[in-house]
Amino acid sequence: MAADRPPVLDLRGAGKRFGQAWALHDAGLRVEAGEVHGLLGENGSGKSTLIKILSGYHSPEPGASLTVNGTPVPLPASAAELRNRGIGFVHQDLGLVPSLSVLENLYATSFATRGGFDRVPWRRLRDEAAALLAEHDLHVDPRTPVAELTRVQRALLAVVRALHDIRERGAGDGSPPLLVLDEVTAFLPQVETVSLLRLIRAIARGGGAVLMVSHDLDEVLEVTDEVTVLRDGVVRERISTRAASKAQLVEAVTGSAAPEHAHGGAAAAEIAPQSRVHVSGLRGGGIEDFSCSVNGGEILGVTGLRGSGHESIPYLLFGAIRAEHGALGLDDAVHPLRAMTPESAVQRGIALVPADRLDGGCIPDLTVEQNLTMQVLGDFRRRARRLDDRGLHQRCVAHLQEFRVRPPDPGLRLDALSGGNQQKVLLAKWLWRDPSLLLLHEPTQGVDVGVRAEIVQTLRARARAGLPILCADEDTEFLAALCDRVLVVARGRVVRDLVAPLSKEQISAARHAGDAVGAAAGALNA
Amino acid sequence: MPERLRVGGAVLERFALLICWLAVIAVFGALKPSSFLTLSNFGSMFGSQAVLVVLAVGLLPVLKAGDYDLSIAGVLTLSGMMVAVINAKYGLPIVPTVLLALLMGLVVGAVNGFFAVKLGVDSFIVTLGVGTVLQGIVLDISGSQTLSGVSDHLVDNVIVRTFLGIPLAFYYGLAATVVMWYVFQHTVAGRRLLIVGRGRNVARLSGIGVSRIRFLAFVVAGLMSALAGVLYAGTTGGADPTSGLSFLLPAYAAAFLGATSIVPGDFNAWGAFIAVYFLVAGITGLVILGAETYVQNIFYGGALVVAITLSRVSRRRVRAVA
Repeated sequence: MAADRPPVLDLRGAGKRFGQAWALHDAGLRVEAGEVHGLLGENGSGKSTLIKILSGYHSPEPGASLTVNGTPVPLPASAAELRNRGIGFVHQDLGLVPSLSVLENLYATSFATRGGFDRVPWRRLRDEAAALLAEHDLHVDPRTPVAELTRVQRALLAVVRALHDIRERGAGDGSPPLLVLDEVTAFLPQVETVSLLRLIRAIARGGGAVLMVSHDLDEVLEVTDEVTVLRDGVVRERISTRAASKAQLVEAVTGSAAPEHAHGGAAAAEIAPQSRVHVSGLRGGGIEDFSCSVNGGEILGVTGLRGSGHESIPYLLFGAIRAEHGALGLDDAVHPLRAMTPESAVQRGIALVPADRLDGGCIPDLTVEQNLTMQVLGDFRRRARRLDDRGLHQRCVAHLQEFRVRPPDPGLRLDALSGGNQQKVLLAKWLWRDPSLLLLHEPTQGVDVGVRAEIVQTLRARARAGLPILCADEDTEFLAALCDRVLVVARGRVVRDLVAPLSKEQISAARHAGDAVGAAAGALNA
Repeated sequence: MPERLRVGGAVLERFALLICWLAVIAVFGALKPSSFLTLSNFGSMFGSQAVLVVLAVGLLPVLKAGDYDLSIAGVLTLSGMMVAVINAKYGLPIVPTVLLALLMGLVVGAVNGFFAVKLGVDSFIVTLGVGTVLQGIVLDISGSQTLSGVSDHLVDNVIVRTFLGIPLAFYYGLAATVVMWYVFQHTVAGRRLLIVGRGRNVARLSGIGVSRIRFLAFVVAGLMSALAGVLYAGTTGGADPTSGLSFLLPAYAAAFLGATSIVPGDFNAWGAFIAVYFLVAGITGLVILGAETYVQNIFYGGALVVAITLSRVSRRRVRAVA
């Protein structure tokens, strides 16, 4: 490619201030044609702010300039302006309508700009769509409702749509398009991201540029050519990832050498179990038969491939999904799981941190305090049923500080915090009243490496203090760092029982091997 | 925007409705001082609207929990009619009569709660149906007639006796508002209600008894609507089978308009209270200026649309700032 060609994207001097604090200061970002460029940074590093300036959501402070393929674009730019310049965005939520078909979703943007009463040439569009999808290796019938697609197919569809929109509406002068992917892979199971990464590489090979925001450093190493690293609102480094190591990226992102995951496997054995949990004969929610025991001081992981049923286990034990059969022994009492409800689970001291922060985890438009204290309100009832606001507030501040939530201000709206800090609030909420069993489902989803290490530390400390923990997750690296034991589930049954010392590779291998065993068993039964 | 201005804006938003109310009074007071700015006019405005205050304030818990109750006007009408029929026609003393009417409200609230919460039917539709059933019962027990002759004891204690020149009815509405404010603002139950309304699934997974809270909200709405019906019978000294139904829309207008101020973005008792009196001041003023009575419909209907629009706009703005 000619060396004198202007970069596809050249953003300079971008800054944004909220009140007194600079969320982003004098940031520059350059992406060349044919390049996959990563944007890295911890939660709260200014990464989202930068993307929001680029997408026209935030107006930057004066002094910022944006050049696209050599043409200056005034900021903030409208969505239509960006599209006409050949810039397309795919955000984490993908912006698809699940109840509509692939076809309808694919052409949603063109419908929005077409004359209202023009006849829609469905037949022709269907043929076009089928060709377009096949071109990008997405083999689905355009008439399929999006709700029936797998998660990775949805992500692929969103990317293909963005690409299609740029082509349709773009400058038309052959200048390369830019696709901005904002944490699109965040909620995809690792094994399934492969096809998405392949598509991203293909776009770059075709001369396009891709700007990609991601937390997953393995993925970043695999797919990007260069990365820009943000820390505390400032661009720290530009690293060529062709030769970089993961440790190098971790250091750039966190500003310190990679944290050693202190593993408590050996130490845990020395601590007398203070609480004992026993699950027997659990059935329901994709689980056929599951039993386990967790000693106080122990962290048990359950994992498996998507759909193996392992992800239901915390919810079944908590009564959030109704179990068909099974019993939970907690200390000296045995509770039938068919009768368990979230309300009775909480009364028995069971805590559940659900995976989906936005549905079930917390209420983003309420305050930190309101989210943090919703289950301990009864402890703050005073005379005339009055709620002790001041006492509640003080305890909140102490709690937020203990869990290193930044800033430790209970009065802020929860969605003013970064994702990692929201997750800490969620943990703080459930650990407020020393539970007798902690159930977790993907507690570090969409959280950066620094916070992830903090969460591992917090959980290990609690386990050492005698709290039994059960964690369902698909992140093998996290499980290896966290757990003393990992049960691998396939087709609703435990197929492997792994004991510390654990490694990422070992768990990963067991998950896939486990599925083969399960599949074989399934085939025999059929 | 400078911090000071933003804080000022927030304060202005909180008290905008109160300021509008005072402005309406000032304008009509200036235009028609002799008829608008009189003690009797204020007494009648404050007294007669207590029915609406109790109804609107009683509706708030249901709205806060994320449900709807469209049967409140039906309960109000039936309650008023029960007072007239049982007390005036069959001669049961007023106290047990009132208790029976309130009991009816509790039962209707429980029925609404049973369908909407236990069976999971959409509350909007269920309560629309229940309200219509109640209208039918009203027509049946009244023989489609207007009844009068309700015990003077009730009428005295609602509208005849005054304190500081304002009928006692006003103070009942005020008391209902204070109680609801206290519950919302200062009790565990109020906080839980807020959480249930904003994130039902979060509340459920946090071990909050979502069903119990939603059910209780319906029961409270039933009880308060019945109380409003008793006040209505006391205000008019009788009952007619249809006029109570016209309270439905004003109650919703007051609840939603109230949600734009005092605690912007949330249904709140003082907001609803002020909204009721803001709306009635506007209507009374226009009527005194010579407007026809249909101005009521335009005013209440328009207020509901404007209120909902305002709350959407202010939510969107809050999001953009954050």
